[in-house]
Amino acid sequence: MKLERVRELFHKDFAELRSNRSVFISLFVFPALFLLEGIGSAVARSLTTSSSPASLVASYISGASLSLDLLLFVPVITAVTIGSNSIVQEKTTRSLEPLLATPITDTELLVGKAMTPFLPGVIAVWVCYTVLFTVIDVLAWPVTHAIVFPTAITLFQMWIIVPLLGLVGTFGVLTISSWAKDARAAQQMSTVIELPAIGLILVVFLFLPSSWEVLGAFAVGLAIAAYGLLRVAIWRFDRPSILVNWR
Amino acid sequence: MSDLVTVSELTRSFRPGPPAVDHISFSVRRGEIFSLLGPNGAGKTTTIRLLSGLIYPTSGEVRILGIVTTDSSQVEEIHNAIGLLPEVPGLYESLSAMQNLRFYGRMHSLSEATINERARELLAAFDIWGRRDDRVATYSKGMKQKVAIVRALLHDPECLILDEPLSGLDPEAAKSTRDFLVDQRRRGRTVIVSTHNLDDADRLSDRVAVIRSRLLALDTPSQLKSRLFRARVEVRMQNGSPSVLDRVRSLPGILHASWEPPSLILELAEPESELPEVISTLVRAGLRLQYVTPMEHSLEDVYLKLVDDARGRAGAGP
Ligand SMILES: Nc1ncnc2c1ncn2[C@@H]1O[C@H](COP(=O)(O)OP(=O)(O)OP(=O)(O)O)[C@@H](O)[C@H]1O
Ligand SMILES: [Mg+2]
Repeated sequence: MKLERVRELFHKDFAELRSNRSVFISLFVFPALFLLEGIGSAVARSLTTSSSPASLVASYISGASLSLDLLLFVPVITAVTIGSNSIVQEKTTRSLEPLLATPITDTELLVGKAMTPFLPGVIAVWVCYTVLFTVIDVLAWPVTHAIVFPTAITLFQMWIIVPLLGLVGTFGVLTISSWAKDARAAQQMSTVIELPAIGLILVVFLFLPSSWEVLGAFAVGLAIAAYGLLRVAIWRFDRPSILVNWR
Repeated sequence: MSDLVTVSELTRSFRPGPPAVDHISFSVRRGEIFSLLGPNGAGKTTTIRLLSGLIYPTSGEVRILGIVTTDSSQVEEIHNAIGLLPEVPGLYESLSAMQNLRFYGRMHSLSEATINERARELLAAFDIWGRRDDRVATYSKGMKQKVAIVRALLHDPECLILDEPLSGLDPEAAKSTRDFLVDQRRRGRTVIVSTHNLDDADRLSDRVAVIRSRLLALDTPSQLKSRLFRARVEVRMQNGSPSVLDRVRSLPGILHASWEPPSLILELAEPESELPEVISTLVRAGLRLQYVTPMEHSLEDVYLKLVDDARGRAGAGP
């Protein structure tokens, strides 16, 4: 596998994504919303509450945790938005054919095509997590004189769960879009992956108590799903059938 | 080995329906311009895709530089050797011509300097250099076609495989593209083109394969013409009449004669040896000949006859 070709494909896809203003801007909506929710609620509490310093810190943590959990939607939603657009664009402009005529291998094509849906969402969440950790630590420092965030669980969430969700969304959308005729159909079909993933995130993070057992099981489940979807994606990105079947 | 591409018993079916390409065999020599000629739906695009390894045969095989196109470990080798112009340009519309070319150049691992130099030279030759930084979406159909041709040429491939390269081009651009292809041949490159345009195939190709799912004929344009039709000669005269037919019919070597005022149309087995006798007979009879011209059959006649015969055979059933 030649990394230059993968990177080049990513750059090209990203340049195309940026030129599609409405899609590009819509990508910032959810991360910004969830991040502001976290920061806003913490700052509001620090200004208005008259309760004890200890319970104030506790309320920062619970407010931020909600944000951290909501941000888990972002890698999935972003992957579906970007992926469905990029695959459908390759189809409608029939640009896959000249691309396949270059020395690119199946693996390079799949990996390159996966980067654009995968990276922006995951990186956005990592940035939001880092900002949120810093804000809470700064707010809590006068009371605790210790670092509150990140905790072991939030780190696991950040480095393991977030990328896994990104992979599930990415491989899912690449596979499903390869069957779709236009961007809207691709997006509708992709809800098939989006909804279960979002439902699971809701159940696991918002309703179940956050324990290592639940989190571990969720991670294993995601890894299995990502692997399964990758197998289907590899089958769909099979060079000799891609031009014939992707219509 | 002077064959760059060998195609043996190539067959490709799509479900449902009869094979789009049916047991076709030919080989393309290094440094020739080879045309695939056939009506709509004849399987030209399918053949082009099979040749460039974008789809795989149902049976049979294609070898380029001796490598079977289905050998996935040799994708790089094969695709660096060929430059493909697909049926539809398939450019990235939201990027500029230059961005498109840079992307493809890098896919072929060309250096930045090479990409810039080649792109400049080719875009200038195709008259797009001035628009190189505009989004492709704003280009006309012909301009897109030109950029796609430039893309195929960018890595200076050994073999060009072009699906209807002249479609959408105005006469001037078509002429410069034809000249360009001839120039590629001069530089030892091999060119495979599919076309509907019989004139282009006639003028451009060293050899023509007429296909309609099956290979109907394969030869040089002039051989195709003389093989399918007997030699005909037009003898135009000032004072002719239908009665000249009686004078010539009895002469040796005349296969058929007809009077199409003011000319006598003769079909001969061997014009070079038989015509002198015919001409002197006519002159002796007091006919004033204006000119004697061999009648060329156009490739169009050849093509229509081949396709028609094939249709007839298919229609006749088993
Ligand atoms: N992906 C596909 N799926 C199903 N059938 C196909 C596919 N591609 C081509 N065909 C069929 O194969 C036959 C040959 O098509 P092809 O595009 O090769 O013809 P062509 O000679 O290029 O025609 P044209 O001159 O119109 O471009 C047609 O009957 C077409 O319907
Ligand atoms: Mg075609």
